[in-house]
Amino acid sequence: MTTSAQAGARARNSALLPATLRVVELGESVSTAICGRLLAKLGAQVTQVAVAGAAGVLDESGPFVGDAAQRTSTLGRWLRDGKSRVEVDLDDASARENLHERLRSADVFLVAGTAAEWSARGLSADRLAELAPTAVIGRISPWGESDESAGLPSSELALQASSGFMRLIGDLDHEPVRLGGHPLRSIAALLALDGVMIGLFARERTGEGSRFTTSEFEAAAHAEWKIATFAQAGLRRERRGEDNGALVLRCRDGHFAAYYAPRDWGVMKKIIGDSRLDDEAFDTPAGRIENQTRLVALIEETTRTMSKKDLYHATQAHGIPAGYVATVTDLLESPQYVSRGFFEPVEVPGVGVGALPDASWQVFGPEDTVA
Amino acid sequence: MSGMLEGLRVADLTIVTAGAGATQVLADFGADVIKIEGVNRPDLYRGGMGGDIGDDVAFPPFRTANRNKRAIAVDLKTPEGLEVVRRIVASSDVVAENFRRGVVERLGLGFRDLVAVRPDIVLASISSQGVTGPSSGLRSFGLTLDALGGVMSYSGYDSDSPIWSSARINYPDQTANSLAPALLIAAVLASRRDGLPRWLDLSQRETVTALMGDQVLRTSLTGENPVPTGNTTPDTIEWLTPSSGDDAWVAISLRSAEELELVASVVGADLSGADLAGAGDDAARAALVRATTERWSASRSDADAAARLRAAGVMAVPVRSGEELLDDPYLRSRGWWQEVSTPDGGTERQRGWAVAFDEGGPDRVRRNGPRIGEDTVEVLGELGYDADEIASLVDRAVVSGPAHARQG
Repeated sequence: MTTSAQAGARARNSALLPATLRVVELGESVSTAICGRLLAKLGAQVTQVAVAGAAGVLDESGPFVGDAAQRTSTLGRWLRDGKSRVEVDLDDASARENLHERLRSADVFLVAGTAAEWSARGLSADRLAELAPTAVIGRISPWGESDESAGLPSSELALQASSGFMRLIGDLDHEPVRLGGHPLRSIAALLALDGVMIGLFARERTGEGSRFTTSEFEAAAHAEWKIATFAQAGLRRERRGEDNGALVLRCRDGHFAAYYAPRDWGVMKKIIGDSRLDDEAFDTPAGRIENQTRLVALIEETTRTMSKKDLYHATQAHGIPAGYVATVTDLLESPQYVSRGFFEPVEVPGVGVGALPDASWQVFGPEDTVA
Repeated sequence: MSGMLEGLRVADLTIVTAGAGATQVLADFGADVIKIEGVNRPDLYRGGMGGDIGDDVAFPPFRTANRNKRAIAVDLKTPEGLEVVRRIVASSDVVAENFRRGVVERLGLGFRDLVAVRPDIVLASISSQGVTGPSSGLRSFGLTLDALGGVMSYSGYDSDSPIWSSARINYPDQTANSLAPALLIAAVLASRRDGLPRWLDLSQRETVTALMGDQVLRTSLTGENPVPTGNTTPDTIEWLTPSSGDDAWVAISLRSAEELELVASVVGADLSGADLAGAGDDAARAALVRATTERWSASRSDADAAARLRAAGVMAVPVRSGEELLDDPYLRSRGWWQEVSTPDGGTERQRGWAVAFDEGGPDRVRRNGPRIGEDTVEVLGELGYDADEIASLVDRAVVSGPAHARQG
C-alpha cells in the first residue's frame, strides 16, 4: 500500500441506516455483492449466505494476487469486506433450519439469480416472505427470467454488447470496445439499492414488506436511456468516436482528457499556443470533427512535451472541464482522495496490507467544519 | 401511480442528468419533486446543453429525466424569490443540487441557511469531486470523470488509446443518478429518526473509483496498474468476432478454458492438432479457436452465429445498438418501456422503472416532463400565496409560468 494512501485522515462517515438493520445476500453475484457492500457502507449488518457446492463466482474471478499456493481474488476480497459470511448445505435439515432462523430476522434480502433457481432450493420469494414478512426482497438475475436468455450466465462483455453500450465506445477503425471493469453490473447494484431503499421507506409507513426484481440487462437499458430517446426523435445517430468536443491527448507521462464547448475553442488554442490551430479548417465544431486526426496530431506536438497533471491544472484554471487519465497508482496518490481519506487499509492474508476505496459519499452535520 | 415514496418531498435544484436523473427515480415512485429553475436561467438540459432552449420540452432526454415532477420558475436573486424557495424548503425533506461548489451558498441556500429554515433538512450535493478537498471547485464532464475516476485507464484497445464511455452514455452521470436516489432516501429516513439535519456529499469521481475496488486493491498490493486490453482481460477468455454485414459483431464470453471445446465443436476448430496436442497451453488453444471462429462467423449473420454458439452452451450475443432495445422481446414482455405523449401530439417510449416491484410500484408516467414554470401557480398556492400575491410576483418577474417564462 502506498504511503500517500495511508497518509489520508480517516474520518469519513457514510452511515445512514440503523446498525440493527440486517441484510442477507443469498447466493453470489457481482451485482448483489456490490449492492451488499453499499448497504454495509450505509451501516447495515450484511451477511452473505453461500450455498455449499455452488460456484464461488467472486473467488474464481480476477484480478488475483499472491502466489499459486495462496492465490486471492481481489474481487472477492473487496466485495466480502465488511460482511460476515456463512456457507450452508441446503441438503442438511439442521443447517437449513439454522438458516431459516437467520432469515427470520432479516430486513432485506438480496437474491442472486432467478426465481426458478431459488425455488428449486426451497427458498422462493414466497418462502422468504413467509419467514420474514416485513422484509424487502430484491432479486437480481443476469438476463431476466422469462425468455430464452434466462439461463445465461452473467457476463460484463455480453451485457455491454447486447445492450448497445459498447456500440458507442471506441472508433470506427476498430471493433466496438468495452469499458473496463464491471460498469453495467455496478449499475444493476445501484438500482437494486434504490429498490431496497424505496421498499424500506414504504415499510416505515405501512409496516409491510415488499418484493422487487431486476436484471443486469434491464439495468443496462436503464443506463442507456438517452439512446432510445434520440432514435425515436429521429435525431442523428451517433457513431462511436464521434464525440464533438471530446479530446484525449497523449502527454509526456500518459493521457489528458478535456471536453470543450464551442465557445472554449479560443481558450484551448491559447493554452496550446500553436498558431497552426488558427487554420480556418478548425474554426467550427464541424470543421474540427472533419479534421480531427490532423487537429489531434497538431495539438499533441505540444502536449507530448507536457505532463498530464500540468495540463489538467492549466485548462481547469481557464474553466474548461478537464482531467488526466488517472492510473490506479495516480488514484492512490491523488491529493484530492488523500485529503478526503478516501482509501481504507485492508489486510490480505499472505500478501500484505492494501487499500480499498471507501463509500463515495460522506454525511456531514452542522457540527462539522465543512458545514 | 406508485405511492411507495408518498410523503417524501424534494426541493429539486438539480440540472442535466447526474442530478435530474436521480430525482426522476424518486418522482417515479411517488415522491413530490418540485423542480426549481431560474426565471432567466432554466435547466440548460432543456436545450440539450447547446445553449438555445427553444421549445422548452423539445429535447427528448430532458422529458425523460424530468417526468413526474412539478416545475416552478423563480428569480433566485431577488429577496422575494428566495423567500419562495425557502417556503418550499420548509415543507420539504430534502434539497437536491448538483451545481458547482459555492453556488448554493451564494444563492443563500447553503446547508446552514437551509437548517435555519428546516431543522431536519437533508441537503444532497452531487458534485464532481465532493464538497471538500483541493479539487472540489473544479469543473467536470463525463469524459473527465471517466479519466479522473480511473476507469478510462483500463478501457480501450491498448495502452496508447484509453477510451471513455461516450457522450451518449456518460457513465459517471449514470452511476451518480443511479446511486443518489437510494442515498437521499436513506438520509431522509435517518433525519426523520433523530430530527437532525444532514449534508450528503456525493462525489461522482469517487463513485467511479469506488466501483473498481478489485483493481485498487490489486495495485495497492502489487504496484501493477491495469491497462487497456480491448475486449479481452488477463483473467477472462472473451472476444468479439466479426459477422456478415456492416460493422456487425458477436461477443463471446467463456467462463473457463474448458468451454473452448464447445466453441471449437461449433466452428470446426481442431484442438487435437499436433501443434496443440499435450501442450496444455490455454492461450494457444484460445488463439486457434478465435481465429477459426472469425473465419466461421464472417459469412453468418450476427444473430445466426450467436444462436448457434448459444445452442452449444456458449455465452454469445450480437453486438446491438441501443435503438434495438426498443424492440427487445424481454423488455417488451416486462412492460419495461413506458409510452408517453410528446409535445407534438405523438408518443415516445421512455425508459422503465429503476426496479419492478410486485406490488405498489408505478404503472405509468403520470406527468410529462414539465415546461418552465408549468406548476408555478399551483405550488405558490400550496405555499400560502393568495391570487393577488401570485399575480404581483408574476408581474414583477419574481416568478413565471409557461406563458411568461423566457423561451430561449
